[in-house]
Amino acid sequence: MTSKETVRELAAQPYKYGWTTDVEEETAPPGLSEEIVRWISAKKEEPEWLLEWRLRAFRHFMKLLEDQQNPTWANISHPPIDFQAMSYYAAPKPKLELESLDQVDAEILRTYEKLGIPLQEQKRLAGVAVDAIFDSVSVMTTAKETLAKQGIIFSSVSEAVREHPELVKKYLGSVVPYSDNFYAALNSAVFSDGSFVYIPPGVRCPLEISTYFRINAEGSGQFERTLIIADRGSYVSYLEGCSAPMRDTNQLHAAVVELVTMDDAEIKYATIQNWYPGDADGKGGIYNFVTKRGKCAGRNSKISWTQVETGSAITWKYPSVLLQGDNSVGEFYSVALVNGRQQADTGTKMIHIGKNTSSTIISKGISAGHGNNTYRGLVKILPKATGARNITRCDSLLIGDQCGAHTVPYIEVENPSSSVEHEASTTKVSEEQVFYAQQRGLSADAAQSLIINGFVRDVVKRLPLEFAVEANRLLELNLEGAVG
Amino acid sequence: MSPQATPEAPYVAAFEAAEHDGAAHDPAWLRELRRDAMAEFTRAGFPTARRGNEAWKYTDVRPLASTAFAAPAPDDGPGELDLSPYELPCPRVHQLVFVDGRYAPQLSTDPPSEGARSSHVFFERGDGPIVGRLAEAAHYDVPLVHEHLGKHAGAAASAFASLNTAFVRDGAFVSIPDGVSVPEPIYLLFISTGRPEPAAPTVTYPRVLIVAGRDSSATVLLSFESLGDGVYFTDAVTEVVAGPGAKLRCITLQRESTAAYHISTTQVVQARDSAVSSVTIDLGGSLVRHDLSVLLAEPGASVSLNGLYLGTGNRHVDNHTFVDHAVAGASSDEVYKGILDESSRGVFVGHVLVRPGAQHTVAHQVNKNLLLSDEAEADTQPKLEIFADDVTCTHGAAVGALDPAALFYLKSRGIGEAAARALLVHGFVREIVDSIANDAVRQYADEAVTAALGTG
Repeated sequence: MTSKETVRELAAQPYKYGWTTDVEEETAPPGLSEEIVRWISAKKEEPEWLLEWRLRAFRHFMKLLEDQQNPTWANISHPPIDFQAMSYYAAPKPKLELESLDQVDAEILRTYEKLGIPLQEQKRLAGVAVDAIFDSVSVMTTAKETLAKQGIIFSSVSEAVREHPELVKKYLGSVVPYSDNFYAALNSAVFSDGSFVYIPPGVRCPLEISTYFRINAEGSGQFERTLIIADRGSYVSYLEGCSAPMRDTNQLHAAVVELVTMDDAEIKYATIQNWYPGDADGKGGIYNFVTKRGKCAGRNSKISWTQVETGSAITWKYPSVLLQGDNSVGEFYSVALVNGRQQADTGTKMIHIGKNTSSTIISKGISAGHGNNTYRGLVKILPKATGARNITRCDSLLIGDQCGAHTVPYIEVENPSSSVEHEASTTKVSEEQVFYAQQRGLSADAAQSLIINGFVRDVVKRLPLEFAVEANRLLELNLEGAVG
Repeated sequence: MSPQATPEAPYVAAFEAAEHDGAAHDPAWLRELRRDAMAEFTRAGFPTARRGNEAWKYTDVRPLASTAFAAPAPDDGPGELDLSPYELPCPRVHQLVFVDGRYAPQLSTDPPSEGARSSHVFFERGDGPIVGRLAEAAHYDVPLVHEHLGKHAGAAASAFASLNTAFVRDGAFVSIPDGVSVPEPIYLLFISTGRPEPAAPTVTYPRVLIVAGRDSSATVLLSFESLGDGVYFTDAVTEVVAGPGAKLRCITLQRESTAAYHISTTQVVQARDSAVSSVTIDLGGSLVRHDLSVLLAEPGASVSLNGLYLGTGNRHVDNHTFVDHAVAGASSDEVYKGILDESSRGVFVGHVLVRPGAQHTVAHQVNKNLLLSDEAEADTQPKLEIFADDVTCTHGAAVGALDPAALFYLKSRGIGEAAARALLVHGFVREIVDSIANDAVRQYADEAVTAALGTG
């Protein structure tokens, strides 16, 4: 039933968000140097300690670069990245302190409108607070006052550095130190903006908090940094979306996300990643090299990652949880779809440190076209993690005979009272299932879509409603006409 | 021993000495094979580096690399040796015994006798298997040896395989002629005297080549045993070539001394419709590493890989398996189980590769580990790499303790704690032991496993 035609068709799906916004931008000259790091820090009027931290990270990165310690273990291939050829800062001009939406550049507003992101006041009723990041800076954060009433801090990281330096200083780099890995070091040196969220003790955040990342400028990288802290007994659900224009050149997105939960707190973090994946021949697209990690610092705390990865030329991303507090819970639900020449090497790390900690990993990989999809995960049970539990389920679906699906789990257990189970399967869409649906009157396309919806259901149902709809739509769009 | 510039240097010196002394009568191709392998070993070196060393991520060979091993002295012979503990419970076996790497004719049944040691053993193919010394087969330039030796477990395998090839002098050559079915087991026994200090640590390089002809059938047991509890190093390489329709069952029983290093490399190559069953049982050794690779080179080939590793003391057992589905329509099935007690560590890395075009592949893999103590550790990595869509591939891994509910059930039936635990542990390993088809070999292996498990 697999026809070359449908696979080609599938690879030819248009990317909907590929346009650019014509807005005057202030861009740092290409190249990475101590001067640039100082320039970015000065631009953001940062305190001395943060500049020092950036410089330490910068020196560490340059040393890694010199020693050629760029990571090569992932199942991805790309030409060497010239870190001196890109710009590390791009911001729409003029950069004002924005008091209201009226002061946001009309072009940028239209950008977000086109993307369907509710920045408009009336849309705040939609129950979502949004931080909109345009290239290197945050252009607008909505619903701040509503949240402030409950003591919730939701702002750009730059603003948080000014307004709440004690919190930023305490937590920045506490989960992902700058020495963590190659791209984390780069990010720590040149990070531009990102979201900062602090939920005070006992507060259940009334709105979904959301950040939308948009890369617009050409030849620049995006290096955002997100920090979310959920204090004792609090709860927050955070959503992240992203897109970029279609360009022939590759652009680098190297973000760091850090989450911290105290006793009894919970963070739900959801991502719909739809960066420009490059064209059918693999030209252009975003290199999405992201370090995401949460720390369940307190007892009974919980961190849940949900991701739907449909974009990017290359995805290199392992949202992880350090289960430090006793009884803490870590979850990872992932759908990764590759098509065209996309490459994804993604998974998670669950590090069980505390007693009775438990983690669940559900990974669904879909490979089509010439795409290659790798699940790479680590489950580590340390000697003190008595009674730790992990269940992992990784399934891969192959559509067409030119794609690849790979599973590379690492399981390291040092405590006998723990139990770890891992299961994985790889198949194509079952012909029997398609046949069954067809003889009930569904078209082959509809049958395929139904089966894929079922395949990813365990993950998509974890998303907040708006995102679940968006995720299903994205998957459907990307796989239209691809009968397995 | 004076400090050496590199851990590899003593091996280079030993190689030069050996080549100089007694290699003159070996065929030119064999000397070249050895020389190339030595060059390869020198180039690659021991895999001691930690960074970027994925294949040796969990196994540190630095203690091995830093120990000075010498070849066993010629007069180290064991004298009279009582083989009764190692006898298979069946009337007839084809048996080759090597003691400290040297062929022990008085203990072997094949070749039938000293007097019959001549070329006809290798060339007059009857209805029985050819079980002979590799040294003689090479000496008579048996074409199959020339064709296959060192061709499968080559430089790509590992530095340890290269090291073995560099020192290949003797070993076992097993050939099953086309259409021949061998009912009795072929038994290859490698004994190390394992003398404790002050004797110097020794190294041996057991080498086995098994070639099964078209539609042939045989069972081969490779057994590694130790007489003492000294430090020594066994660097073994086995190459298995299964012809079209061949049915081959290979069992490896490893019972080295608790101070021994045992590193083995096995390469299996399978032709159309061949069926190979491999069972690896690890009961001994201090640091043990197996690299077992299977190339399913033609359609219809099927392989089943089973393994059991028992960890006690500070034992470190690392099983790396690689199944290469190179063509469409082949199948593989793998079950490895570990029981890890005291401060032992078990490592399992099972890699299944389905190459582009290898449609209709069926590949299943399971690794299960039982942790019996607070200090034991299990690391498992079941790895699938798939480039074809019409396939059914699964893998699973589990690590845990004995099921408390099952334990409770047994105790409620009046069975004591220790006996209940022993019963559950025996139940856990049963599946692996039972995968040995040959009755005599299964019985022998079962006794070895039961003895090693003790009462629980």
